[in-house]
Amino acid sequence: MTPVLRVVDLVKHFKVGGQTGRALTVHAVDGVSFEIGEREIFGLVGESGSGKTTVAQCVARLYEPTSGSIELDGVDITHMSQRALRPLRRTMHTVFQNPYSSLNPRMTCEQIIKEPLDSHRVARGTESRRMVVETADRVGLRAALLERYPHELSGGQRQRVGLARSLVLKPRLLIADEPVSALDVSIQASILNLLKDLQDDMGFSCLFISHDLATVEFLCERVAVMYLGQIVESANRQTLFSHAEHPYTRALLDAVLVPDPEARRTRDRSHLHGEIPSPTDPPIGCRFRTRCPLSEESAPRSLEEEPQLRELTPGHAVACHLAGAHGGQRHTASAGAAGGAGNTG
Amino acid sequence: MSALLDVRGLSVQFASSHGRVQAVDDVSLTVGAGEIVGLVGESGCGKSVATMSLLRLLPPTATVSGEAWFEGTNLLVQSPRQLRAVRGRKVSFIFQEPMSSLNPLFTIGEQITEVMRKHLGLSRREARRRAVNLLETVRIADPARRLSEYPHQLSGGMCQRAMIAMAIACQPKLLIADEPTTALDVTIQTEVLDLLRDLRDELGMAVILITHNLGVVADIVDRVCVMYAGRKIEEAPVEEIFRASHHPYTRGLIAAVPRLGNRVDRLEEIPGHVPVMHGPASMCSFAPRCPRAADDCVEYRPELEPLERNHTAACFHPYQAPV
Repeated sequence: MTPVLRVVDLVKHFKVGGQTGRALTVHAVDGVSFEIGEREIFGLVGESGSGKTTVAQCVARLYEPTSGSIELDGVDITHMSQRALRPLRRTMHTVFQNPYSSLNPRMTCEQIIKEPLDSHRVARGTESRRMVVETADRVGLRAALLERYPHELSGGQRQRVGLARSLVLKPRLLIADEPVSALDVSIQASILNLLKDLQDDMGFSCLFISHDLATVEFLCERVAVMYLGQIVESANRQTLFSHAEHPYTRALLDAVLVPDPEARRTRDRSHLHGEIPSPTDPPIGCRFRTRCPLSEESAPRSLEEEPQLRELTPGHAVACHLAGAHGGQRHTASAGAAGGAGNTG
Repeated sequence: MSALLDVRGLSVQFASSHGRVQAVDDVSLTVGAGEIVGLVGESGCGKSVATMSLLRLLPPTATVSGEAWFEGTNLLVQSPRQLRAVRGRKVSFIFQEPMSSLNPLFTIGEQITEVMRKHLGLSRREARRRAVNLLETVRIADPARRLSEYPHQLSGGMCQRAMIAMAIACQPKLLIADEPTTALDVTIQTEVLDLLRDLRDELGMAVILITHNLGVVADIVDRVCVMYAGRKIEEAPVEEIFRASHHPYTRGLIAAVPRLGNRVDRLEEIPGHVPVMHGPASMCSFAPRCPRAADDCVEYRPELEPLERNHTAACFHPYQAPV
């Protein structure tokens, strides 16, 4: 069966002027491949600067990919002209992170939700009004709110408007880029529940981008972890959250603070030092080696050879020279020891 | 033992074009030496305004009343000159957005040494020497080089560390950290929290940590104050808050957070949203959203009552059993 979205070897480089005037290349995305199936919610996680948003912008063709290919329902849209793309835009919609800046402040909520219907000439007059009211109802917006302007709404209500606008055309693929990060916790919960219900109901597929692993675990069936423009591990939810193999994934999981004071005593001190290197000059060999708690073990191979994504078990792929070499246990132990040495030294 | 900071009946009102807004409503708070107190609540609950009012950092539209006793003096009635001797010297602030709270026109070194030269009267050379040590303390690699760089040349995590270095330059007694890790990635977040904890242990500095992130609270805070609509509605040691909170809002807040490794099919929601208060509350502000609300909740205002040792909650119908 054709996946709803297939991304193969996607590369996006940006040219920027360097400090000394010479041009630099930002390797924002460097060879990313994944597929999203029918009715599937696929999570893309990583720190800021990992390239996850750039992937989404390429998929939505807001950026022109440098190379690679993007297929939507089996149709190659990688280099399709914006004009040819227009009818396909009905099948793919984006919800952005910040509902304060992504809604036009001079339009009422009704106009905002209705705009896609107009621009795709799907419906007019009473029919379009009916579709707007129906979609608003679905996302939990009272009809009375439709006359209001975005500034008159709370953050949660605004994000519901953003969702309604994206879903009014009943797209096949929803791209959600950190849709709840700007919202308060109590509001986050209701938007996440809503997104899940809507997906059950309408059956769209979803590319869900987030830095919050707990949110991704709640919502996504499959997850890929990005680091410096590449996918370093991908697996289904269960495998990724209980048998992560890549040291970066493990470090990310360790860094999640559990809302439970008991966890404080058992939390390892952070053993992922430093920050994500500049994507203008990614490390040669393994891109993660500069921060990897296993760097001594993986050297010298990691200095020269870029680890490729390998399937350890069906559906679980890891890009690490050491993955599968000696199970997961040893890795945790050595990471703990490295952290301990750092504290006393 | 007397508290380092003793805030009594703090209220803050703002005059706005839509009338008065009651941002903080009769809040009392104590912080002991070396203690990490968490001020928790959603946006608009008054947690930032309450702490900013202590050092009178609010715009002139704000009216502040109450008392804030720090080392035997009431901060709220001190002259600007007296306050200058406190700000940055005895009480210092770290703000949420490290990038926008550093001055882009001055190097990191100029900004850190300025604090020490003004407050401690150090020479340029001595201040610089200490600045290098400070950057080492906050674990910035290659500190001598970083001192001559501008904020835009540093990453977000490094700017936040530079902010912390500046805040602890004069070894303050109290550090007020307003969402210090919200703008940072999770991996950097744990590093900054470890750093704050070390500084408390080494310097005996007390910390007021303002946050909406309950993971951060569980990780570092000793005592938690939960705020809602400008009022403090529950206060307890951190273990108590997570084990057996009494107020329905606190329980709702904790239940709403998705927990890693403990996946549920639906998250708990708190319906409705935080009200804007136009004057002191006359009823329980949480009642319209509360699953346990009854008639008395809209007729009278619940006051903070001790329900156990060190545990107070403002609720007529508190939960009793542990979570």
